[in-house]
Amino acid sequence: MNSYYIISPITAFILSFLIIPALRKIAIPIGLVDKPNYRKIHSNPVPLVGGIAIFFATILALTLVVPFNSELLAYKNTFIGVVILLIVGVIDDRFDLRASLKLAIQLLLAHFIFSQGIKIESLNGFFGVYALPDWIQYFLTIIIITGVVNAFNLMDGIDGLAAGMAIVGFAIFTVLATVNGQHYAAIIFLTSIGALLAFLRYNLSHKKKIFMGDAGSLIIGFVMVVSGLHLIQAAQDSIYLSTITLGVISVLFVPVFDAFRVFRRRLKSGKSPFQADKTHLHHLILITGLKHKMASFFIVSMMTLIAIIGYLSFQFAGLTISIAMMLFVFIIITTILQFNEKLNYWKNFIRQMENWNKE
Amino acid sequence: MKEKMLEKKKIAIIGTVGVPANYGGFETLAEHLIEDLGQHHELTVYCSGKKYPKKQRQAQYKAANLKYLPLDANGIQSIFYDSISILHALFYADVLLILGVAGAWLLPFVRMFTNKKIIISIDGIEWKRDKWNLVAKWYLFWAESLAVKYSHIDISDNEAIQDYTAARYGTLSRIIEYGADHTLKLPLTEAAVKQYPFLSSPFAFKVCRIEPENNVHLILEAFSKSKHLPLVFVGNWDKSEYGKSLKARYKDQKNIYILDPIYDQTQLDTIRSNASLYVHGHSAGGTNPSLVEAMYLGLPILAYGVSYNRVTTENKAMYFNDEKELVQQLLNIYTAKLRHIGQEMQSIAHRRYTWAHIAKKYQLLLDEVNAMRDKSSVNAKVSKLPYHELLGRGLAHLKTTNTF
Repeated sequence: MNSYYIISPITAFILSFLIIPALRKIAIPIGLVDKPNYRKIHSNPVPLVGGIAIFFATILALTLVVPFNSELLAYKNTFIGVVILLIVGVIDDRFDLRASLKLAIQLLLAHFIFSQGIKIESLNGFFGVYALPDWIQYFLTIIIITGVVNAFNLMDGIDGLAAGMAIVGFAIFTVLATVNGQHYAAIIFLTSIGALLAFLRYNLSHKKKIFMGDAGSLIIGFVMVVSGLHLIQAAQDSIYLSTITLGVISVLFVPVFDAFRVFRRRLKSGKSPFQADKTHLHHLILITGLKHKMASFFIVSMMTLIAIIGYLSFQFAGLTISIAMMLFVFIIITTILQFNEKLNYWKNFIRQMENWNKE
Repeated sequence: MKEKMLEKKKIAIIGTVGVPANYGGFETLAEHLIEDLGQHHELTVYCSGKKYPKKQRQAQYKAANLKYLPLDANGIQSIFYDSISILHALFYADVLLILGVAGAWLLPFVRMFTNKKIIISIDGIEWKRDKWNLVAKWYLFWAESLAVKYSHIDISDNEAIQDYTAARYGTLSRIIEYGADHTLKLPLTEAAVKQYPFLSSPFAFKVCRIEPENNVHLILEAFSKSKHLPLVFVGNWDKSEYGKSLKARYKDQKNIYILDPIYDQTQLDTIRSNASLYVHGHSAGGTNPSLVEAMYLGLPILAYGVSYNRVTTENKAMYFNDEKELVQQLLNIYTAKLRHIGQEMQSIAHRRYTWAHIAKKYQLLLDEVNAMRDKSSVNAKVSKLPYHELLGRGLAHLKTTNTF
């Protein structure tokens, strides 16, 4: 059993490493590429095959290495959801689907997951609330699943960011699953990390660059949120319930609260919260002058820092205080970054003003 | 009552290195303010003890009291230097005349707890300068916003900066530039020609800090291409990699004379006074004292075409925006044109850039500030009415006046 922890991720890494060059070759003739536009940061068309590669490498590695076991059946719902999202994502990457259609599909999937019994049943004492009425369970579960999937989708803006966050997230999940005694879940997370590392190798390269595409960021977001709910649910009777809840929250924290921040800001300036712009966390960091890789590294470190601060303050003061602490750190960092963005706005304003009366 | 009216207003001048002035624009300004305003006001000037050793210190200089602080007036220490000066001045002064924004974080508290009047000169747009690191930029950017919001009057040195503060804060900044009539026009002497042989024929001149934002590279490249007029360039070449590499690259050019800083003011003035053309590459914020001084000497100006320089020279000098244009301008120079531009520049300087004129502007602000309560806004008064009031009268559009 223990050897799977090592063999399966390595197999996924090798498979992913081998699949990607083949997929790259197919992607360009069939038009599965990301074309540059004014919001995009790169300038050449880049193949959008990362999601497909990560999916097949992970699934193949698991089926080849891990012998079939009835415990694996517990994850069939997630698997079905991932397959559907992958297909939707690839179609979206190639033909650009309407946002409303994508949202409808995500809502349906969230409903499906709820109907399979994966849900939020209780706030575990957060704000003093425990078990929830059925209809609140339903709405909360649907909102959280679609919310996280979209929040994670929005983070996928610069090289290495979504994959880096997913690797740190799955690493934390692996620890939580092991603590919880869910060994197959831990192997699945580790195997995903293996596939993601190989993807990262290509994503960060210059000559053989690929992106994960919506296909990639949708399935990773989906796996993260559904696994998170599953981890919490499986720990209901465990003494580690609060620790696991906190771990899951800290993994999803940065994408979710950054989405809140961006939405709030758009609403405040009178725009639709869904109108795309350049105000996401990674845009703010690029303004400080950091290069892409460093910006990704910064955000992944920030996510790790927030998780550590959450864990430490949880040890001393409990769940509510630790969530407040994580929020506090997040707000301080984003406030400084937004201040810097404002400075940059006026710098550009002045630069234009300096040239007003040039002839 | 009558006696009270006649009492001199107490004014603290904060943020300069000190007087007697040996240093930059603010110190020269303080010196002239003492001369011109000292009779009718009680002035106190804060000086940096780091620049005035104990033996040179005096309690009184002309009509002003001097206070020494054991701190540097520039760099990171300027925050403490200005802050302590401001706190000290709160004990006696009626008006705080603050030059520079480093201590502006205190102003909200000064306004909240006291009735002191505050006039602050925000200088150029300091937070945009390349010489500061990111954290310093953040501080200066924030300090500037406090300086403008919590002063009674803020002063910028250039119309282009007034446009910026109006756009960012919606307030009206006052413009006061620098004086230049301390500049000496010195005739050529034989000794000078012996030391600097290039003085005997026409040459272009430039003195500045060797930094990219002064377009040093662009000017050198253009002169090396045009070969028409010799260029004499004085600066701190050995202070940065940028300077060293430029010096190495152009020191063998026949028509380019690269000189290290000249500390003898007479020598520098002699060279400057006898130049045929003053090249001014500054691109960063505001009115530059060196440009104003060259104008006062009646030198024809060839300046980088940013709005600050155009405003300073009233759009009557020659301008370049890139190397190609500079080469073009250099090839199209002829004596009569230079003489004409030189005269224009001199008449602007005599009209606008004399210390008597500058001090008079400060005098007017000091009179005004004692009578004022709120800052002048660039928006119409009507826009201050509540939105629903305006809406009820069908005038809601007046709430948002977009001036720009």
